[in-house]
Amino acid sequence: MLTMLFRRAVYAVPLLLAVPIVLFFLLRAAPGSPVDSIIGEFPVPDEYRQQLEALYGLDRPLGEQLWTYFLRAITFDFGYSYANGSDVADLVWSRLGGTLILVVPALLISSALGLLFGLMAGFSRSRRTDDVISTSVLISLALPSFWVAQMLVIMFSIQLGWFPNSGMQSMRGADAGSVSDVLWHLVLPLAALVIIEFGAVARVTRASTLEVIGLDYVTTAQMKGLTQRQIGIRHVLRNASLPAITVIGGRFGRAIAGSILIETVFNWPGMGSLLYRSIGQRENQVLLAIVMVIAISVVAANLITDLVYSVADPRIRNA
Amino acid sequence: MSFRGALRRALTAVAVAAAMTVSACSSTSPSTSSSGSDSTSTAGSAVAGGELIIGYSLEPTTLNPLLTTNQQTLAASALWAQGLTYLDADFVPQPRLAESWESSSDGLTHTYHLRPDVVWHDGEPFTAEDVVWTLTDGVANLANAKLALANATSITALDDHTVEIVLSEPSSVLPTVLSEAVVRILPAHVYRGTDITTSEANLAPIGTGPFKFDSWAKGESISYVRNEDYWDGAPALDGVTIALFSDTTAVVNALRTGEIDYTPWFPDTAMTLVAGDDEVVVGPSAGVFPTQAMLAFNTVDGPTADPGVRRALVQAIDRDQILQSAWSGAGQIGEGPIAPSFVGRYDPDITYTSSYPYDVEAAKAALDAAGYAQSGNSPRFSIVYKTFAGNEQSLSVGELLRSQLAEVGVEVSIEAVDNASIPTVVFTDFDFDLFHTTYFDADPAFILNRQYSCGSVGVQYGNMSQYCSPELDAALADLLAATTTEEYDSAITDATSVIMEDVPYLVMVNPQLQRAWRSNLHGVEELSSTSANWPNFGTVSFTES
Repeated sequence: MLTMLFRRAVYAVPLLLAVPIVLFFLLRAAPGSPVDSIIGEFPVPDEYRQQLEALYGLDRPLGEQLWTYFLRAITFDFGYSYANGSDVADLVWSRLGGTLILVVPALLISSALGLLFGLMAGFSRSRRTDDVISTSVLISLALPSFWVAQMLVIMFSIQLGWFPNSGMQSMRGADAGSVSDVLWHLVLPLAALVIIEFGAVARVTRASTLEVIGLDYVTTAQMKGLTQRQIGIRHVLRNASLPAITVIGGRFGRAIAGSILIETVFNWPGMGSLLYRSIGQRENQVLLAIVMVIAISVVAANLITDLVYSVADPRIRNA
Repeated sequence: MSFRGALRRALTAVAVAAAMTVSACSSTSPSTSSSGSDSTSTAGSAVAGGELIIGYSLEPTTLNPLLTTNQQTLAASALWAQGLTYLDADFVPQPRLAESWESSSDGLTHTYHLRPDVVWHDGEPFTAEDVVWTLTDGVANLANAKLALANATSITALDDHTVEIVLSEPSSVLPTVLSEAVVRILPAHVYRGTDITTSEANLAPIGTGPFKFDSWAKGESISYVRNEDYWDGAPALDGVTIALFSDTTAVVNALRTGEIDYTPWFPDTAMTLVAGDDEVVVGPSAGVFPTQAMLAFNTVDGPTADPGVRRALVQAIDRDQILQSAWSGAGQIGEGPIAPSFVGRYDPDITYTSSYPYDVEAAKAALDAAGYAQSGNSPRFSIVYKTFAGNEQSLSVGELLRSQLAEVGVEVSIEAVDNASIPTVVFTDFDFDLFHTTYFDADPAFILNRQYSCGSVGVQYGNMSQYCSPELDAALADLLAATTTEEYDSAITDATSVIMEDVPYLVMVNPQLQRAWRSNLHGVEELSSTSANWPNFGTVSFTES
């Protein structure tokens, strides 16, 4: 098993090395320059433009620019962002926290809900339960994230006034920035992300539950006189959750992607809103840093998934 | 939530009570100027203290107003930085850091007398040296400032509080350039000897304004605190925080729930959302210069290279429908290259309406005459309309133009270009037939120069039509060098005549842009009527609820 994990980790290396190269050419293909967002909306003297282009290294030959870009990616020295007035690494690092506070709980809650609902739908004898759950799963899968986020804002912030709709903390007031203040701000964006994420897990869990439930060992367990609860937890859940683990691991990258729009709607200071802004600014180094962080997270999430999978499934562990 | 709400109300009550006590004791009320400013809609009396939160839909890239023309940077700089003068609502300079000024009769020597009692936020005195540094090294990156100051033969400090500017030829834009509409004075002792482009002070600036920079939490907020030593009297507010958003809708949402108090940019499309909401007030923008929504023709390639075709298209476009439908009627239809808000500085006799009244039949005849006769139902020619992706107004203008021009047999296809690509696609590659954008500026000469001059072709946010006329350039040079009203008016008339003959652009609408604020703010309404520059909020306060 260790050999397998090692092999997977080695495969990830060329993938990660290819990321900056592909990104470099993608960004070159799009018209526009990082200098534009800095100089503003009016003409500037030519010398100023050239000075800024030199700061960005845009006056160098293409090959040299690519090599610098590549070196930045593998040494994690992303340089200084003039559009943000900050070291790129510091900037992305400070925003990573915001995204993790949102994405990690969202993944945990949506996975738990997904497993629970999937199991209930598959296990339930009542048509009604299955219909209700399956419909909500379909809704979760089909709704665009920004729409869900906007609806939550309209309902729970503007109409009911229960929760704030912007930022991670209050800008004024005695308890601004306290833990309860941050949690209060977290509720709506977290809910939005959970709503669009739980469906995928629930759908897979339901399908595999239906598959497992017809197998001989479940019938045997029923004949032994075990209660539904015992069968559900000990026999069905353990086996039915295997495909769900794969799905959950694969959701990590998607959840970060999904958080881009949700962070933008809720003005949540995370990596997603920084990514959104940096695309508009063509701020190449920031984009590189964020894409590298996402690529590494996705690779790491896949490795962890493999690991968890092998722990949960003895057949893989012993293979 | 109800507990939190109760807690908040209790805290607010305590804060208000405390503030009232303080203001009753010290009775500092800088905002009670005699100009009838208390006649506005806000009920309740002003109280001292409180933190004003302003929402921006884009984070500034720098806080230094000499390095960028990004509106976010310029709007934020009004809180802490000031110019020698400011422009009042009629674009006439009024004293700010300069108490008075005089010019020689030949228009070459200009002397500015500075306020003696001004202190920088770091405690250093403000002197003529600061002005000299700003007007020489400081303005190197500002194109509009260079229009006037490139002719300066000397800028010297006669004494600590007197600055003399000597030009080699007169400049009609100098008064605008020396106002805070273009140049805000920055401290020489901070910048001299450093590279202004990369200075750390650009992120933590020192100024002379009513609020001092405090902190910048990237991606979240920029905070300013009250300048107790402000020369014009300390402001009522404890501080101002700029909340940074990345989306206009999020700004509007936050305004509706009171998470922010003010936004300088309020989209027309959000008007219906706040209709009937007593707590949100929408009013004409303060600080945005006269704006024109215009259609640029490609004057080098394609059918629009023919002036006859351009004149015909102008006759075929119903500008009033565009104003009513795309701009919800907020503004005026365009009548020429200079916005009517520049009172007395445009020629009212040369207008689109008098030259090319809306007339579909005449437009058809003109297109026939230009060699684009229509046979059957196939269009005379097809042209591409480009504009900013995500700009609903520009896209709806495109739809209206498509249907209006279809009437005369011209087919228009609409392409939305993402914002970051526009500078390359439009200003470098000129890859369009029609392009729609808005331009605004603090002086008619600035607008004419960047939009119509030969030298602005190929310059970003310059002359994308590629129109170039030596006759017009000569008129623009006369305009820049005019020293008397007669010279100024005749240069304006000459320039307008050429522009009206060749129509490289059609100014369709002079829109009235909007801002919005919470109704518990006092002294906000008059910000747009007292100055043409971004407001500094020194006279704004909360009202007692």
